Amino acid sequence: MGRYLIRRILQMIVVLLVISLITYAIFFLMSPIDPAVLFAGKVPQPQVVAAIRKEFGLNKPIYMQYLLFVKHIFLGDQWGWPGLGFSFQYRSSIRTLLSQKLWISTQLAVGAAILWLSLGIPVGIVSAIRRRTLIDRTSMGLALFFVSVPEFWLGLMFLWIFWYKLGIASGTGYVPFTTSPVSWFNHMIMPWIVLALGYAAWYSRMTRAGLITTLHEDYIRTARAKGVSERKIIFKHALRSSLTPVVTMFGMDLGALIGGAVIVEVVFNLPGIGQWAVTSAYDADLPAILAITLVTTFAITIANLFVDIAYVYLDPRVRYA
Amino acid sequence: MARSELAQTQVPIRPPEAEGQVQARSQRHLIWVRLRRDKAALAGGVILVVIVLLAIFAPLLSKLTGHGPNQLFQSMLTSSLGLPKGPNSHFWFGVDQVGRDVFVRVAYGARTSLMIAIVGTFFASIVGIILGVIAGFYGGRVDSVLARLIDIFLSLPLIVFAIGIASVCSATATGCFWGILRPGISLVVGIIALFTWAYLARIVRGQVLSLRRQEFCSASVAIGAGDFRIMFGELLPNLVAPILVFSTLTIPSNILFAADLSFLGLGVPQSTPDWGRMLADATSGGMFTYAWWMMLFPGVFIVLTTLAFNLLGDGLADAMDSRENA
Repeated sequence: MGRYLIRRILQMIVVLLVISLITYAIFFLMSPIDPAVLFAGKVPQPQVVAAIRKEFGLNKPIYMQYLLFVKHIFLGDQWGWPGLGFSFQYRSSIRTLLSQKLWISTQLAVGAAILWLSLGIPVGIVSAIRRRTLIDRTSMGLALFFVSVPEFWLGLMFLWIFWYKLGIASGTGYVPFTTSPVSWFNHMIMPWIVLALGYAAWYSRMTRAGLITTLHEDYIRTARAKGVSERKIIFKHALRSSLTPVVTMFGMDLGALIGGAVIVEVVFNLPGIGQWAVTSAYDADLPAILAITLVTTFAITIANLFVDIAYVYLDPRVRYA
Repeated sequence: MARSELAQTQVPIRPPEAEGQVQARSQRHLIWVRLRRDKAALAGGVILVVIVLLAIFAPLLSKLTGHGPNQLFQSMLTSSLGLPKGPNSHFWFGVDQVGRDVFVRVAYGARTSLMIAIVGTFFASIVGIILGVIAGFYGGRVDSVLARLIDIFLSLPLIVFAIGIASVCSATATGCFWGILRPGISLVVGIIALFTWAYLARIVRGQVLSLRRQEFCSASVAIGAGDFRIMFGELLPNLVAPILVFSTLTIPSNILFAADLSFLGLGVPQSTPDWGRMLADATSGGMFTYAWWMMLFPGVFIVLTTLAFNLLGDGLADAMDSRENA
């Protein structure tokens, strides 16, 4: 396990380096935007642009800039470790911005994840057991609907109904937990639900499909023949192996969401990573985009690593050397 | 999210020997019979036909109503506040904030959505199939490089990349990637093709890995068939079912993805009628709280289209899956 972990972490670093290279190439090489000119303001003076180029190292050849960027990530820069540079849009160190925004996105993602797991998996189990009954058809019909609905449309409908018409939910924006726990919850509950519904739909479909397939397996028939109770068969024998793909998905989804649930954050005006990605894109804040991409990818790869480790406990057939 | 789950979907490949069983009906015929019995899939098919017709005949509808997709009708805005007026006998779906006919724009929007999703999915599938087959067929070092590449692309945050590229490439009319990606529909298609091929590549690679060890493959090698012939002449036909199912189920994800980008103001340009863009218009300034038709009609059409593709895709998956009858 130890050697496996080291190998995986090394692999992860390589993946992140390749991705940073791709991102760098896209945003600094192919982009027609000159960050220095942009940073210099509405009427860029040549000497100001030159000074900015010098300060941010934009006058160096592109490969040197990249190497410097990588060096700063590993060794830190003047704003601390990991060195992610300076946001042209906010005129502040990206590291400081990142930790604030990451915290908001994490709250959103984790809350939604708890909701969708506790909704999607039970619905999937019931649907699989009561296959072709009214309850199965209704829940799978609803699942199909939530899979097909655009997230922003759902979010706007929720806002319109529960905030504008009924007035029972708070509107958009973010209130820190420490300011007011009640207000925090009121502002988070709708984003959580809207984000969770789509995922719950996918997870219920996956759980149902997985469980139906597993229930046809020979070892389940053996268990039944031995006289094991149906409850025990489903919860002890079948569920464990049919949930493996769900766990894989969960890792990737949660990782991606910690890097920003873009649409929900924009609709509900939560200043997390996703919303930051959009505003940085509007303002062509290249260092911020670069940092966001890297952090999101990092979250996904870390989540994948955790999933692979979780397999050892979930599936007795999996062993890592 | 949708895509990553889809990549987990497993459509079993029918072992070639099963085709020789005592039955006069061909595999294709059986699938068709099963599909026809599936009312939900049929409903999806019918809705799709209607939406495709709507897209094809959009110019005709525009001519019939006498309203161009970008034509402004001042008479449909209230004189005092300039608010749009709702549906009536001339403007079936009402008009939007600047007085454009929502019905005609919805019809043209079907063109944009279908075009982006289908063409994008097509190119992504081509890349995914080619790389997946090559990785699975050659194995060894080729496979480890390609498999790693697939992993990297699977862990890219799609929407974040898309937002970045869309904004960078829309900054000037010359676009980016040496002018290959220009602002507009082709930009969205390009993003889809560039970043979603890996899902299908992973599925195809897995299937080819297991097919390659089967006897018909060794037989082709024995009679001296070239690599290209084996890969695309012998192996690929066995993969039609999973590819078809996966593609049908990715089209709706891509429709939603394009709508998301338009909603963020980064997709197709302002002048192109697009459902996501229309919903963004309905949202700006809380317009829809008054002009509900601006929100309702484009929203309903997006949901209908994605739902129809999903119903059809689910039906296809069931019809091609022999386990379903077990």
